[in-house]
Amino acid sequence: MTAARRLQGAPVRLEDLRVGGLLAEGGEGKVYQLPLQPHLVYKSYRRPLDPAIVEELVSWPRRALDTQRRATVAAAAAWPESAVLNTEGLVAGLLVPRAPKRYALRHRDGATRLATLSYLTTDPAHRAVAYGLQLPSPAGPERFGLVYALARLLEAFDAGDPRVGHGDLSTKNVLWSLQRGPEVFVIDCDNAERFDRSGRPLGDPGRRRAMTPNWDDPAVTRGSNPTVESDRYSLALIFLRVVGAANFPMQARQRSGEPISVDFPLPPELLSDALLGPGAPLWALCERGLSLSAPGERPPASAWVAALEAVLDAIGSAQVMRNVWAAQGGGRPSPAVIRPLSEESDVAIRPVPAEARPQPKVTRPVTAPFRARALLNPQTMATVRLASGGFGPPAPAPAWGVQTGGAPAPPAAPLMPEVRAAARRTARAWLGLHRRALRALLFAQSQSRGRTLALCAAIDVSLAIATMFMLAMLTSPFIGY
Amino acid sequence: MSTTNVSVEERYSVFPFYICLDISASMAGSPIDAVNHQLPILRSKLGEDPAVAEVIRLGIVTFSDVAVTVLPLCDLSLVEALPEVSAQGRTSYAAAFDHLRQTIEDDYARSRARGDRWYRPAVIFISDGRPTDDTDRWKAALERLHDPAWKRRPNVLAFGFGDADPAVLATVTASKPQRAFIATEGAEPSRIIPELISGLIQSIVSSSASVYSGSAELVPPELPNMTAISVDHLD
Repeated sequence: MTAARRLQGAPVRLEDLRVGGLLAEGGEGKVYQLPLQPHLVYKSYRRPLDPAIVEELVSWPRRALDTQRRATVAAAAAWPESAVLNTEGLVAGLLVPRAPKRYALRHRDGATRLATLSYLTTDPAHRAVAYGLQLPSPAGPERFGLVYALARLLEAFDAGDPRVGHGDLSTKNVLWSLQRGPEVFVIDCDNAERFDRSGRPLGDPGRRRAMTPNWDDPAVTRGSNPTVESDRYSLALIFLRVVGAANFPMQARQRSGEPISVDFPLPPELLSDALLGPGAPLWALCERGLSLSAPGERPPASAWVAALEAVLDAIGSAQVMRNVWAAQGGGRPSPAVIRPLSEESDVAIRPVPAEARPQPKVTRPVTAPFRARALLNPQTMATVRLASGGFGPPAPAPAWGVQTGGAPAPPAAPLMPEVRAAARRTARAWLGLHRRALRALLFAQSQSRGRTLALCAAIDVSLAIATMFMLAMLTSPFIGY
Repeated sequence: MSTTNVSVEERYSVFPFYICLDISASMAGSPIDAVNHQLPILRSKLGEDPAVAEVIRLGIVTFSDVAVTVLPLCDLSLVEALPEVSAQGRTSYAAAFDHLRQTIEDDYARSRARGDRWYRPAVIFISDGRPTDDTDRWKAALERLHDPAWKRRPNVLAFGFGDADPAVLATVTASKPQRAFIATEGAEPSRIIPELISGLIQSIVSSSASVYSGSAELVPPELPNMTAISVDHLD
């Protein structure tokens, strides 16, 4: 049992901790591993924190939430567990839960990386080609499930007394996993602020809270802190980006005062559903959540919870919902009441039929230009080989690099080594091509499959004909022709 | 005010970076080995982070007697492998600058055709020596690269070590402050190159973050063993 666990939120002395390797470094401080408490990290700050604020933050789930919501926060947020005091008794940092291992993705290169929202905000075909990851299709039930899991956490934040707002629900702060069903894990919760029922912040007004560009609330002027409505904007934005599998960049335009209209692609079977088709309440929820003209009208997370439960039911994915409950604890919260909108929104969301997106194209490095000048004058040419790793065997056909001539070429070098090098290169190219052809045969999705196979066949048939001709030429004198 | 339509195809503007690498004979041995060791790290750090790869495009041009595009401008998450380079030949700055101008122009036309929007490209010029070509010739090529009438003219950051001349590097960056850097005297290239590449990675990551804020900035790298070459103000 660790000191932090034993003390249940009571401060821990820095000298009692065994601080391990550095995990991350940011503007505010550094995050370290704790070898003896692998489920926690130590977040140290450049400047000591206000002990009163830290105490309010650490004890918030215990004091402000019912049992069910406390379980949701414990499962889905890295809520600070205790203050860490330095030798002078000042708050040097916090002990914070570490994201469980399932909130990571293993790329093709074998390394694991934190599962940030950025993986979900583009066509999954791109991520499959780039990293070898199989991510759910746009508008797939798992994507609705992830937003549902986040909405349930934010509902708990909102239901507390006092309620809290995170303020920086950005790509790096909202981690996700599908291993046990859709789950989210929100980090950097020390950025959170407590608000009273009127939405007034209860903390130190001089404290600066972070917001990440591209994930920020455009209703907050630069240099100001996120408000209690900012998380509501983030939830609507994350819904659009995660379910739509696209970036939908809009804050800069909203800031310039432009009304926004979003074309949200949906597969035809979802588009015909009453809960997702044109005019469905979900789109009104989204429009109001993203509104800049009336931030006070942004729907609370509870409205999203209710709406997404209805959608998951309607698309036959109630199991996804139950998986979220199993991971976060509890069942359905009480249905939310959605107030009518007082004015027309400055954001319009239009569900449209999804169209095929352009296929991602892989770039290959330019191999050594193979031509007479390079053969004869090696000094004039930088030879370029393919590094190992990457997507598999190197491209067989040497692409021609655009060149710009420099100084005049020095005298010619002996030819033989270059001829041997050329032969080696040709052999390598031939082998590479066949490896690619084999891959193309084994994996149906392989790029340019037909072309590779055709090229392979053409080369091999030509080689066979040439070999037979040579054999005939060599053997003909001995058999009397 | 008219309504702006945002569709699934709406993308961020991209920030193109060109690494322009001197691979002349003086780079042979440990410097070029260090480059070949570091390039895959550059790819991994930039390409395997989806948020960075989304907005950064990187191309690699090498130069000695001639300049060659060894990695066409690309999304680093979609590159099969990075090239491995070997050192040979002399140091033609003219070849490098002429090739860069042509490459940027061609890449821009291709990107526009695909619907991409560009921030002003950045060139990261790395050299361990002085130009071996005629001064008038490389200066004329440099002028074409910095030509104020050419809309796609890049911002150039220059990094020198070995025999590189601080005055020449400052000229390469059009004498802009905090753009040209020279290694501490006596610093080993095998040590400088890893520091330089890791500084560049940090610089590109920070620059990518600025793209998301809607106003891209070319963030200069922090290099422990390099100092910025001071550049005078013009009257």
